[in-house]
Amino acid sequence: MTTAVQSSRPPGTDGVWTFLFIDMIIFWMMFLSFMSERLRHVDLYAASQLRLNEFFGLANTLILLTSSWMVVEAVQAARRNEVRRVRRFLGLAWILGLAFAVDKFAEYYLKIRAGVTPAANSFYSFYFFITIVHFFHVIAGMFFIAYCRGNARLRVGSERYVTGLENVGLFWHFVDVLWIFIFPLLYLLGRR
Amino acid sequence: MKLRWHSPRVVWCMLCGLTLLSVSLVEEGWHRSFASIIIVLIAAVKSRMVILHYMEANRAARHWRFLYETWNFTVTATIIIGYVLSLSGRKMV
Repeated sequence: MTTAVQSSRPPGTDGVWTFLFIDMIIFWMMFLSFMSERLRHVDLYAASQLRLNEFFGLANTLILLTSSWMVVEAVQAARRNEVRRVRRFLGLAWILGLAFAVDKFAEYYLKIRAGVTPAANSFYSFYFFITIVHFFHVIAGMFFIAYCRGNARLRVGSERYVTGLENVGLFWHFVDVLWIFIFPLLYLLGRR
Repeated sequence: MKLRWHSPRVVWCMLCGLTLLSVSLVEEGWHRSFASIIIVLIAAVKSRMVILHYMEANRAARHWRFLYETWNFTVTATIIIGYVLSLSGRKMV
């Protein structure tokens, strides 16, 4: 096992920290709207939530947590100039992102086949809206990860590459943080 | 080599353990109201761990750590307050 490496300068760039914070505020507003609407239709939300399978959400949580860990390892490998490890960990992170997408598609497919659509009621409108917006972030993150992996051979070793990868890591962890709240909010809160 | 408690692997194990604990609270049929509040608090702890140890906010400029931790607290409070309010007027089960 290799040792954890921290760079002497702060991780990422201010622009990315700012962008992510603004995005986080937008998600907070979605959560606030969901909770406020839930207050008005507690029984409807409880009944609708029971039709969601929490094991899809659990699988996606574990997938994203593992993928985040892989990205941390890739960033640390980049700081040590270890090209092969950077590529391997980014490859694993990307595959786990794909697993998240497959799990989400399977869940959407089963829901829609069972007649559950965003138009069914406000709980499902929120469910589809929040998870689809989050899903777009996953797709964007996968694109950034693939880009960094593709450039690793040529650019690992440069300060600019490490900073770029740290920014991608920040984005991917932010996607993970969002899901950490989305999972209990939609699947577990008040469930029995 | 000694594993430090905040090494990425140990943090990952703790995050997965906390996730499984959340689901088991629901599956084991814990008192619903308490279980829901604990589940949200567990999410807050997990989110903070990712922010501090994976995003390395503890090494970023102080204002970023402050803002991200404030966001974490605000989201947690929003969900818990919303949930507790939804219980009022209904029998606690």
